Amino acid sequence: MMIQRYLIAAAALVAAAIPCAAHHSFAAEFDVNQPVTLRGTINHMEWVNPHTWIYVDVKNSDGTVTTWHFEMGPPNALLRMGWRKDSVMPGTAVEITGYRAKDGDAIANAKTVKLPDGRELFSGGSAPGSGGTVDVPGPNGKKE
Amino acid sequence: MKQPTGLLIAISLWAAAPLMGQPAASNLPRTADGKPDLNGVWQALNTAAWDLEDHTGALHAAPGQSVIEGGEIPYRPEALKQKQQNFAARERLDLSEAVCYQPGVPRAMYMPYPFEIIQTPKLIAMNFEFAHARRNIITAGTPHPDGFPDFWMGDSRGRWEGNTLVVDVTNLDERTWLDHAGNYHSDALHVVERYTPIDPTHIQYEATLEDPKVFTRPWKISMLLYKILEKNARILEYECVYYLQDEKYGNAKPVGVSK
Amino acid sequence: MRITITVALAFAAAVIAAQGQEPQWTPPRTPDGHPDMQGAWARRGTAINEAKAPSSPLGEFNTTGQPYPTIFNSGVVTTLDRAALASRKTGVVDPPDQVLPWRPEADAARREFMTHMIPPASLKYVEKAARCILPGPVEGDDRSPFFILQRPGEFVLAYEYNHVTRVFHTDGSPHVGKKIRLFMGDSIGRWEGDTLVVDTTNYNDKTSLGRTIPFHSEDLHTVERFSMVSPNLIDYQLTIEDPKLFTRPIRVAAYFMAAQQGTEPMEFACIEGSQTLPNVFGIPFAPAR
Repeated sequence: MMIQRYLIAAAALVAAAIPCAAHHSFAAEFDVNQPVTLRGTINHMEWVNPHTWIYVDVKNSDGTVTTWHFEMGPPNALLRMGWRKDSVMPGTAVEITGYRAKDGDAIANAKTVKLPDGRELFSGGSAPGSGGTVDVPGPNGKKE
Repeated sequence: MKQPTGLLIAISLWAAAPLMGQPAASNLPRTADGKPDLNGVWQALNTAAWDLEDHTGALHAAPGQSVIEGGEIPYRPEALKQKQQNFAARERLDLSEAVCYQPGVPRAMYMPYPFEIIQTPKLIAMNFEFAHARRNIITAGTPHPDGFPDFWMGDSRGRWEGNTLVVDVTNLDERTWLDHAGNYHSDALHVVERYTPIDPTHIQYEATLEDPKVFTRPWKISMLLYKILEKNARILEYECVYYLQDEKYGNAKPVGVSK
Repeated sequence: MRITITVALAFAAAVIAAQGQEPQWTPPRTPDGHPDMQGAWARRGTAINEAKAPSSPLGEFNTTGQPYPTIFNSGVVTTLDRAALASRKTGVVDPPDQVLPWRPEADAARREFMTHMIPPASLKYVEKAARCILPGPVEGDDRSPFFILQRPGEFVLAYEYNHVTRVFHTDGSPHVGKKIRLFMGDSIGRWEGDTLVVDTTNYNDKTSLGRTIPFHSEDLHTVERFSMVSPNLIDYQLTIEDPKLFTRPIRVAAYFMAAQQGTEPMEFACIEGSQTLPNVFGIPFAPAR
């Protein structure tokens, strides 16, 4: 029912504004003064907690290739949204922004990961191939 | 009208059940949904976590007899070489002992620390004192999800067959070991466990391991789990991660810090 | 027919007002007669939003920037849930102005401590939440669901995050002895009518209560109250008392909202994939393979 959808949206907005116990700060490991934007191809992804890792082969200006390691959020949400281990195949081109690790290696914390079709990982959008929007979720089996 | 002989056969089979090693169903405590009640704190009493096979004592290492049916793990020849390499480097490569990673399945069931079974109709949680590891055994009838990554404690789906809880475990991370002796598996490991209470304070635990990349055939371990009966028994914390971090980093300097 | 959110909320408020006195909703019950709160939940509102707190550099780089989906968060779908959520306060409610009743020496100590956290001067100054250790009573990653299991004698709150399992003993057994100190404390629960009251003691002093309360003492004592106020909402009140930090207890109001139907627990291993301390110190945690 139309009214219900809007009310749910309102409730979700209210929920988003509420302070909740957060994950840890990245300030200790990553340098907010060293933003990076890179284009490359996906070498592989590691679907591990607490952070999914995406390894990206980036061609340097001298023709060599460096495999960057990008840290992302926990994979469980991606899995619940329908993403699977083979959703993002090696060789896929990707544009990735983030913040470099303080220890200076080719490691960074990913802010955005854009796929060639414009989809972003962790964007809250739909899983690949599903074509639709996220269903309006239902109650946890508890009825009025 | 029922065949009298059929009825007599049924009665004699039922009466013989305890003699055949089946639990006397009448003395098992049951949950509200009629299943054997496995709630409580339990622990294995053996040295399987050290070595599943027969092993002689050594300093700081108690001896033990094999918990394997048939005695030995049926390794493929090249896999046996890998096991031997593992054994030689076990202080470094056994991730549970070296760095407190979750021990995987079935090893968590026979680590020398208690664990608690918390049983509800759709979810049986197991809370292990070692590294506060946890298994979520889903008994809601849902299948293993497709295309999920591997987990340190696997993906567990349970169902009841009479008085036996049967748990099917897949998605086990290949980095866990089966014990401290270097016995290992690949990402193809599939474990089927059977938990059969034989009386209110003992569970017969059996696990069949199948991994065609490492073993020539499936093989089975078997042991008892003993209920901890002391008053106020509860799971405490063995937070080895914290202790190890203190050891490794307690006197270290962060990179890039000059002061 | 398009309806703006404002109009829709006004409509809902009118509907609720028009319904007048409703019969008191009662929760479904477990076989032993207590409210059945079992299922998958999203925890909301437990962050301690201290007023006039020193600025924490931890908050400046708070996120990967990725909008984290609340896919498991059902939103509330019954009128009772909407009413229960509508004027709900969260965060610190006592003191009502959120100015925490610090003991001056503790306030000075935590301010000094916070100046060494970014960059961390040593291990002790690394944010606890980044270490994959047991998080204590307040912290824990609320982007992952919580699962409640109940059986006679126990009420269990199983976090998905870092596979934390809190067992509240409701069988009358006492706390453990004073020499046992635990990251998550030792919890005794008792039912006051339909409210579960959880008393937790035996905390160690190794956890943090939030970005502006980086440590506490072993005298920490918490009382939590869980009551199911509507089909998809558990009211959660957390009273925190630490006489070495504060001159009197403080209270945080929060809640658990039902997760999407069919949400199953998933493993959230933490230390096994954590790179935080290796990144901070340049020393690996696990041996090279």
